[in-house]
Amino acid sequence: MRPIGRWLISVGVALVLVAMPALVLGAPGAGPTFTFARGQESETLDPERTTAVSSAEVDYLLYDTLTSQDYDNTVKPGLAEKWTISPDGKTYTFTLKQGVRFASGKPLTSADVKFTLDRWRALKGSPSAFNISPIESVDTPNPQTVVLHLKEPLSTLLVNLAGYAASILNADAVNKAGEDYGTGAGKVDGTGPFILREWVRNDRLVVARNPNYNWGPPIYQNRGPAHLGTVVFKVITEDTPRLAAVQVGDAQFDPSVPGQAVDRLAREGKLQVIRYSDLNTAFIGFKLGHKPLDDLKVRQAINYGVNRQEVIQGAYYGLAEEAFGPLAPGTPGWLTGVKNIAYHYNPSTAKRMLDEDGWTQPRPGATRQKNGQPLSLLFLWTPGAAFDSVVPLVQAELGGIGVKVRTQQMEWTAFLAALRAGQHDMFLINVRYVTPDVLYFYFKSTQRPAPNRFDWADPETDRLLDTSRSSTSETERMAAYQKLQQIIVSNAVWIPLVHEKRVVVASKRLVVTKMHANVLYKMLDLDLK
Amino acid sequence: MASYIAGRLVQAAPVLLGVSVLVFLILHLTPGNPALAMAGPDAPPSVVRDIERTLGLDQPLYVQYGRYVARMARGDFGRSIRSREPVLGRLLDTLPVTLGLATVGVVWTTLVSVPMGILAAYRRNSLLDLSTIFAVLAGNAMPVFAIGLILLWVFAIQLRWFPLTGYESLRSLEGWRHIALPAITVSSGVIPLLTRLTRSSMLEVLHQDYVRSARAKGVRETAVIVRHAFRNALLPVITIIGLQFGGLLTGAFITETIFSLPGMGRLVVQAILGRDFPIVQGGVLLFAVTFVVTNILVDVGYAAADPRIRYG
Repeated sequence: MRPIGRWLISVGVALVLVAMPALVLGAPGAGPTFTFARGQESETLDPERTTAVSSAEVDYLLYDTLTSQDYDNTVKPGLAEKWTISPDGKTYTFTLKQGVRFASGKPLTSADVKFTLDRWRALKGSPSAFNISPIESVDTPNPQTVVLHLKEPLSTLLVNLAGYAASILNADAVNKAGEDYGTGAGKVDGTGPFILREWVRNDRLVVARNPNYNWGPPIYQNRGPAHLGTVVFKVITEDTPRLAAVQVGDAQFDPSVPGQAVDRLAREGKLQVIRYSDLNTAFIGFKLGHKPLDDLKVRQAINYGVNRQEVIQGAYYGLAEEAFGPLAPGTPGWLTGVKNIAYHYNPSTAKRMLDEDGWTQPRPGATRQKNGQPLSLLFLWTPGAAFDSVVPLVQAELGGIGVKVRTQQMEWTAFLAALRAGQHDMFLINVRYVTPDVLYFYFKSTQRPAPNRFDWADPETDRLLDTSRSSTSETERMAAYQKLQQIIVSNAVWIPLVHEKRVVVASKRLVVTKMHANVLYKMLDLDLK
Repeated sequence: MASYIAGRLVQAAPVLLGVSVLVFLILHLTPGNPALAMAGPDAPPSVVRDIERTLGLDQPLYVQYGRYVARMARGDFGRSIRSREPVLGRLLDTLPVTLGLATVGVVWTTLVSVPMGILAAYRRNSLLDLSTIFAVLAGNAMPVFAIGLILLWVFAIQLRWFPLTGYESLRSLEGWRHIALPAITVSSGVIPLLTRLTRSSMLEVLHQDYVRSARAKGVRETAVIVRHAFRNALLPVITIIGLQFGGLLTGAFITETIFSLPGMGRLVVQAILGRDFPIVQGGVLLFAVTFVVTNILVDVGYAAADPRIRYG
């Protein structure tokens, strides 16, 4: 054989040997590259330090949690393959899956779980640790078993442990990186289906497939390594260029499409336009401690004065459903008959109720008065795509029944500070909760002045909320949630406005079966044609 | 010259101290704080208080300012409240992008404005002059963000001549393709101003006796314009170019957002919205330093342009 032939064969054999492990396991990053265009950069990839959605969507790829969240928002196994709960609801025993490793190669043990939960609870200034505050201690009888001891039962614990903030960390990696943990490649170590490769802030964040991953949650058909080789999160702040990036093929996914573009995109048919519910509710809250909002008749009349259909068409481009109560349809415990007890738009009824209550109009079109006091309310809000249109619509509708609404637009943190200080009569906000626990946060009397910004203090509500949190009987808890929704609606503590439809656009190359409440969650079934 | 520059740097110290006080007060006296932004809308007050305590926001304002200045004196800009990164490193990562944008913008502005201004003055009241005035007025009337979006739509989306977003180092050709549209956008607000100034400055000089004398001596027309007239018309032009460099830095706030450039302007805007005080304070201070240094360089440039001016 001529020397050149031998040389070629040697090189070929060497290449096969080098490539063999990659061919068998699937090399990190090998496979299609998926570009996810988004409006906001992740804050930090230390899950215990942030509440930003832009961090969560990356955390779900880099880390795993003890439990996972199914498409129907029920809890499924995650890193824990099974668990038991003691009859008093105060002891949870988790059995970890075998063979799970961090991206660094270190095997996952119960010590890492204990480290994660202990650190989270003790972390000064953690914005999310209150979600697991009833945990008193964590035991690790063996490397595969974790026991949580609670001060009091917490019915939402398993759901809370499925959230990104409960991502299981590698104790060694956190200790080594110290304050820098979560700030860049080499300073993050999780057991998730992807590994952080590069992070140029405000430009791109690149993660590559973890070829050894085979412990995906049971909600996926593919529980092994992801089909996608690389995922690039590209930050494009402005709506127009972000959408254009998908249209011209620079990106394959945009999770926040402006409402006015949706119809056009659907008509053009060049992209997939996917609408889904993420269990959000936009509502106007009343400050019951401020007169005359302590008067149930006034609150009910104002509820009758708001035309939700007009709001949906005028502010949401038809991409929303009417809200009738404090929970979104699909949330566990949602009151199926809530529409029947809700206040439907009826300006005549609103005017009659106010007349009967002594709030009279000196002349048509004027602000109503009672004992010389005008029915004038301060309405605080913070800008957002739809809210910019919701506020003038509601103001005009309530003006039509003689209620003067003084609107005041505020920057987000100034808005939260003003609500905390109780400066509002009414305020507009959108909440998103996959569990009925939102009722506890928003209506428990001990949660005043925030997030119970309504001054709602009712012993029966408190009793039901305690039952809903601590009862180990599912039937009893669901009954408590149903009763709570009845109380809140009948007392008109809110004006439930709408459940906004989320709209994402995706390239037709993207194989996406259905949307998760956490958008693309772990991307295990996702593929590019 | 060296003693002049040293003197100017010493004078800059109170300016920077004043900037730091102003930024600190504006941030801390406006309603809302980082703890609320971090905790989100559903956290109970105890969590917000806890975060405030961790960040030292529960201390009196003078204590917070004293700690801030003491840290800065040691060269410690602190850590970002939101991302936990060291502030100085974060700012220095983004500064080259913004400086690159502003520098390319200034060069582009000069290359377009100065010849346009000279030609318009030389051919006063001609079609060329009128076209220049029209272009200047049109450019002045359009906001920067509109120009940016139009350029993006035409050249990046429709024609695909330039990348849609992102940034690459200017050491590569791809980097220049990325910076081209943002640089044209950021300079669009300055070109009209500099063109008008060059034109009026040249018009003034072209009527001076020494220009007439130069022509009478038989000096070539190009030499009359470039060597005799323009050199004397240059002083106000240098002043404006220098001052507008600062303007371009601040203009970068908008341009970086439209073109998704990972620069300091965009970082500081995001930090303001997220109430990330250390990033805002450090960023504004760095902008101020850049502004001060630019002004010193402009003054030094005077001496190079005009032999009558001597410092020191």
